Amino acid sequence: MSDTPIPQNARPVYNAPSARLADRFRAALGDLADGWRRRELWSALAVEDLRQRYHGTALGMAWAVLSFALFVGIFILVFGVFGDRDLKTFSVHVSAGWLVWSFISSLITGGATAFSKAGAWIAGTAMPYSTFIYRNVLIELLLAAAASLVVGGVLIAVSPPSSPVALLAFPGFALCVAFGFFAALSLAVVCLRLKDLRFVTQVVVRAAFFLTPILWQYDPTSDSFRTKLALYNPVTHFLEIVRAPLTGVAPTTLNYAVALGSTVAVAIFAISVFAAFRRRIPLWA
Amino acid sequence: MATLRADHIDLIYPLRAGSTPKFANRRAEADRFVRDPSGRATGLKALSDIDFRLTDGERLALVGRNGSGKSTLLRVLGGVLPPDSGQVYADGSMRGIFNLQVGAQAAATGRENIVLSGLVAGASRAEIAEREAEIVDFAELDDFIDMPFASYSAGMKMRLLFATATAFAPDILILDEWLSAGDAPFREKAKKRMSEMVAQSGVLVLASHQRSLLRDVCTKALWLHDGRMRMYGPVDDVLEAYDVG
Repeated sequence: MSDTPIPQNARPVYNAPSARLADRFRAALGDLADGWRRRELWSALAVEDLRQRYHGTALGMAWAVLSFALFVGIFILVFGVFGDRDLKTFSVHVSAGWLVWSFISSLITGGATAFSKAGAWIAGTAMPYSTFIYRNVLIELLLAAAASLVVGGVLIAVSPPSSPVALLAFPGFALCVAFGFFAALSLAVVCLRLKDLRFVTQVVVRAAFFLTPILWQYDPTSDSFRTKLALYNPVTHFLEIVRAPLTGVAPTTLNYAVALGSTVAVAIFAISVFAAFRRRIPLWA
Repeated sequence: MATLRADHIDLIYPLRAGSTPKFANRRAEADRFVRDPSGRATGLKALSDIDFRLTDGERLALVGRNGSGKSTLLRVLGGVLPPDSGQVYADGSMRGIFNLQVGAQAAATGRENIVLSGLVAGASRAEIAEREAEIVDFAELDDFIDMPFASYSAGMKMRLLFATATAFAPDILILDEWLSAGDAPFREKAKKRMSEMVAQSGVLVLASHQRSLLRDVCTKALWLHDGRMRMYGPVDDVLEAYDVG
């Protein structure tokens, strides 16, 4: 039977197994491209996920704004008002910092279970696996959009940005989105095979919260331990490329270099593990 | 013209250290496993050298005992599982229906679930909007269609899932068991709708244990045994041989 020629328009149903590295990378990038084409689907799934999250509450999606506002309010009250900090800078520092931190950390912890939670989908439908990563990123983007209302409110209340430097926050956040996407993709693949890493991820993310200048501040010009702790932590630089512009200060070259370098490194790692193990995903999920 | 071609498909389920089944060591089963140099079974050969070609109008019945690889083969054909070697080729739009429940969202209304299931099936929003009224009508949900899916009875849920799943006919249809839903009068309706869907599709692959159904619907049959093609040919011949054993 296989002597009969392959019909002209026939396409391979799953990319052909291949030991060639180039084929594997092409298949992985093809998955990312196909996933992007299914945006009608993952947009609907993201909205549905959020609706499910607030389903049955009286305030509904307003909770996305409210819970962020309450968190930030408590942080400002406890660490700003009762502490001895400059309330104006601290309010912007903590609200913008918490927005970026929530976005990146949720994508990381969510990424660790993205494929394992989608097990029924992966076993029951032929869908690009990246669909689930795109969905997660959109969910966090919508939550960040809700949080940005609070950050905007804080800015207007304490120190409306007067210089165009503030606009640098947007490309800064775009870099956070790229980093979050690839971090989620790599963890989704790795944690599917090594299930213990899911819990390691949770612990690391929790520890990173305390090691990152979100609730605490540092003086970039000083030589103190605190400054070193902040600057050796790559997450700090993602926070700064969004947060610094909002306080009227341009991010440093170091901030951009570390953020961009980390994003490129994570992207290369993510696409490599995805290329290496993509065909195993339905067997592991 | 729709065609579906399976070209020397092999599929091996990986076995992790510690999860090797006992029967891997039995002599009769020996050649179903892939082993490392120390003799430990590292994989189960779920499918070996599956090779066939279907063109427009051909309907393939897949028969075999439990565990013979029917569902695995359907998932390989449907693009869910990648074969370890060999390749499936398809000409025409394809859809495998393995699990009606996938994608059903409890908090969403019936109408919203129609949209989600349609998107999962690969239809566009415009195509879904076109079929929506007909799906609601077929599922007999009337005013309940704007209520949350979670509030439906089991029968109502199945009726909606069935109506949605059968609304978008592909060129190549892959079915793990014949779909049905509801009470006796609804089943009659469902049977007719399934026949229509199958008639619209160019190629069908159907795994089922219902002989009479397979004889009615299918033209060819493939008998799977331990992941291998035991017999392939006209449906009546294969079913007869299968019954003899």
